[in-house]
Amino acid sequence: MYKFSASKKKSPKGHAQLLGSGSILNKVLAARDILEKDYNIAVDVWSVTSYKELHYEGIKVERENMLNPGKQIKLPYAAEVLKDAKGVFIAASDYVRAIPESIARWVPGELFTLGTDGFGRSDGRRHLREFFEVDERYIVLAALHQLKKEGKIKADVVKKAIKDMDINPKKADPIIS
Amino acid sequence: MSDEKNQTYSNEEVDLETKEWLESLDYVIEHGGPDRVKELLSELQQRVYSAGIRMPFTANTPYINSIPVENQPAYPGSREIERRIKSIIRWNAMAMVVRANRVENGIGGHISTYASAATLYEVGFNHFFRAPKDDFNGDIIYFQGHASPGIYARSFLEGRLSIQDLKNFRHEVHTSGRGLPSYPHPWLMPDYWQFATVSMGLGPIMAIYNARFNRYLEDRGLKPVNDEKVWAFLGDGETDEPEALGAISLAARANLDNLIFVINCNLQRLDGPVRGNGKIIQELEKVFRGAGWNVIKVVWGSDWDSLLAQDKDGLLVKRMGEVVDGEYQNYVVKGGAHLRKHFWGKYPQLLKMVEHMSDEQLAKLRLGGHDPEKVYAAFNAAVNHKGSPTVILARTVKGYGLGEAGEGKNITHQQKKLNEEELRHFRSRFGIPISDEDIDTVPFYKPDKDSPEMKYLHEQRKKLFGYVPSRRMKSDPIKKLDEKIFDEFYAGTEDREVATTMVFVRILAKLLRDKEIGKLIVPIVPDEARTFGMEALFRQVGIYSNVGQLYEPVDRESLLYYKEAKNGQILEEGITESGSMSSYIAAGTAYSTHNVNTIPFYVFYSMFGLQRIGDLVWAAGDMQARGFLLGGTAGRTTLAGEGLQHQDGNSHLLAYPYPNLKAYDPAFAYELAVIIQDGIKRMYIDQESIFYYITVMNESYAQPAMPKTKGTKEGIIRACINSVHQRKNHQRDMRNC
Repeated sequence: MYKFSASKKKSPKGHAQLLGSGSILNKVLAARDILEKDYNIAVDVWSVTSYKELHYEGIKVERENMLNPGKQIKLPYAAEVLKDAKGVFIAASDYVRAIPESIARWVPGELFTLGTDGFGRSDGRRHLREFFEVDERYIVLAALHQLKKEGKIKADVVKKAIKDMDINPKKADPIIS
Repeated sequence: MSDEKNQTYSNEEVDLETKEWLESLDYVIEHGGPDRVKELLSELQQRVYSAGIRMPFTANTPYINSIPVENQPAYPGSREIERRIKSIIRWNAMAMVVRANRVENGIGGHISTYASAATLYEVGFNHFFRAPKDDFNGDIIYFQGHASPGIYARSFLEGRLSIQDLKNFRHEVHTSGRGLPSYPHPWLMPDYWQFATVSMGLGPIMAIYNARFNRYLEDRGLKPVNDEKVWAFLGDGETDEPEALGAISLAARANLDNLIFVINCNLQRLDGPVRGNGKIIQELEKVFRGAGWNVIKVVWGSDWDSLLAQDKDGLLVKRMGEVVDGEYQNYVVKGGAHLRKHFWGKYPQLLKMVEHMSDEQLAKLRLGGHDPEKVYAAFNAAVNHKGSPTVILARTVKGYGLGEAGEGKNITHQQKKLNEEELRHFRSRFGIPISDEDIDTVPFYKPDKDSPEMKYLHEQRKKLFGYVPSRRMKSDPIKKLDEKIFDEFYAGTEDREVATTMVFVRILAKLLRDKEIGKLIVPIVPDEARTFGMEALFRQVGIYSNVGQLYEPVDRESLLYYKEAKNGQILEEGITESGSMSSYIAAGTAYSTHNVNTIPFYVFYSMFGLQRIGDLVWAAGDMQARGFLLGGTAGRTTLAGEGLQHQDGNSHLLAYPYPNLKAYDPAFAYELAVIIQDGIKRMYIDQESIFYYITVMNESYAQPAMPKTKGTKEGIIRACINSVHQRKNHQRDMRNC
């Protein structure tokens, strides 16, 4: 994982760290632009090429820490590179959520994940991403939702965003539909 | 029609006509020879067919040995010394399992598989299995996993394993020194086992593709034409796994006469008979002959030769053919009197044939798979057969020699304990010099190093160039890749929209053109090359075919025509992920089997990778197969239109459990380039025991240039501290990250 782009915002309302992989990274970049432009949120984007590598490195470092109580605690790579990252953390990929969840405890903050759990449908990319809630609108919504929880923005902003972005809150959950 | 005509014949006329025909045939057999007989029968068959009469099809031959006794070669070794060696190995193999279970109840292990297969292996070890020597890479042997105690027991006699090793069978963790793994696992014994065979069915399919890959390497000039044989030992019950038989037609189509299957037909699997109501040997004969294999049945031992010689009217052969396997199992368990009554007693003439023999003599009439002369004849015929692969169907008894402890019984597969009386029986039956006082400790036995047994054993192995199994751990590394190959991918595409699948194909095409490693690249596809835009490679490097191209391809006029060639580089496997993965394993382990650093790139529909053939990938990890698995058109929402069973959002999660599999989901061209470049270095220069799973997608977008930020490359490829992890006793390298 590495930082693909850093925000240049001077006085944002809040900060968001967006993690993306594969072709969904493009949706993350689109979400970044919306968050920065429409909501004045400073967004850094991280490209995560392998959650598996991060996961295994993390449990390896933790094991070494556990077995060497006398030594200084080491940080797993994910924690190390994210240690100065501010704000909320959103991960989006084209795979099931369990994958980004596997590094959640080394993220310095709650990691909110978006993914493609469920049997799915046959359709075009745009509709599939809407169905699985991994397009830029849902990434924006996830970030706003988490920022609301942090008290950085008000609930009305999130409500309005749902309306503005034409998201149907009564939509069926893709995991069970 | 035929019925009507038949009615015009009287019984006498029928008999007379049959007699005339048989006499004519006898005349031709005597004067014309076998070839003339075949020619004549073929003519007759054609005439019958032309007359509109359809003959019933059968691919079966009678239930007797395929090699008649008069065609048996003289046995080239000492039967007596070999018998003693084999007996000692039997004892030690049994002792290993019994002792392991005394130390720890329930630790498991199998006595009865090796007990049934001992003669098959020992004839191989004494006369056939060739070790590597100079530029001969050694025969490739897939040992049946459940027989591992017997293979260890032989290595113990050869001095390759110690008493302590044998004591540590199935005790790899809580002992000092080297433990012996339950089954063949190269990960656990990287200088010994080559192939992971114990997930049943995988050994045979991997063997087929390995035999084909040997030919591929020879046809492409990557290894000398030495015709190393590939032996696959498997169980009859194992053939119910679809993988075991699923690729046998490829073996025949590719004329793999370097391939020999030995199927140990002890008629039993774990729960009960393999085919209680049928005959597994006959069933397999039909299947393999139908697929174009050379089938050698080894059903009966030499004890039966004289009886069969007396069988002028074919009644004994008839009886042999009509008894089902469930009954044959009864004959083993219930003894000579039962056998006389139920087998021989069916026809009075047969009963008369054996009236001079005692019940005990009847019970001891040996089966083919336990008779070294019969087994030698079969192996010898197999290694000399040309034009097609060979399968040997050897009839044996499961738990042979265990007596009351389990010979032929349904519980025998699970038998791990023998009481004192059973141990004594075993010892006396095989003549192991262990006293009654010592018997209960089940001591391992090794004859003095100057004994005839030990001298013979080493001499035979010396003639066959050394000891097996043995695995090469290190190969000659490749030269460092030219960084320039990847520059264009680091630069990005500006506004030009491309998909990572296209980027991958471009990287592959450039690697194929590279002077150093181009020839080592092995692209493997299961009929999806066009899906991934790889069809340009057809023309560039050709599709491998052992016969070249015997037709003009329909698209010959186009630039990118479907080119097959004897030196073609692409393995176009057709619609078989299991087969393609087996090819990948053969190519990915060639560094070890042939000291050739072939670099497989197996490109497949990502949903039909780990989800479909995960067990083979697990075996690949165990065998430390190197290379790249490319999951194409990946991503549950990125692959449009294909729906529920194609759109993959699972494979990266499924990649987690494979400890040495690196899994990457890159977004951009430069990420993909960095990962592949680093992978080639780590696997083929640093020789790490890792392999790669990378997903590529078919969504086109502008590919950005690689950010100049420090740490980007490292961030792309790894998240780890580089530390070489070494296991005790051997040097298998894997950075633990």
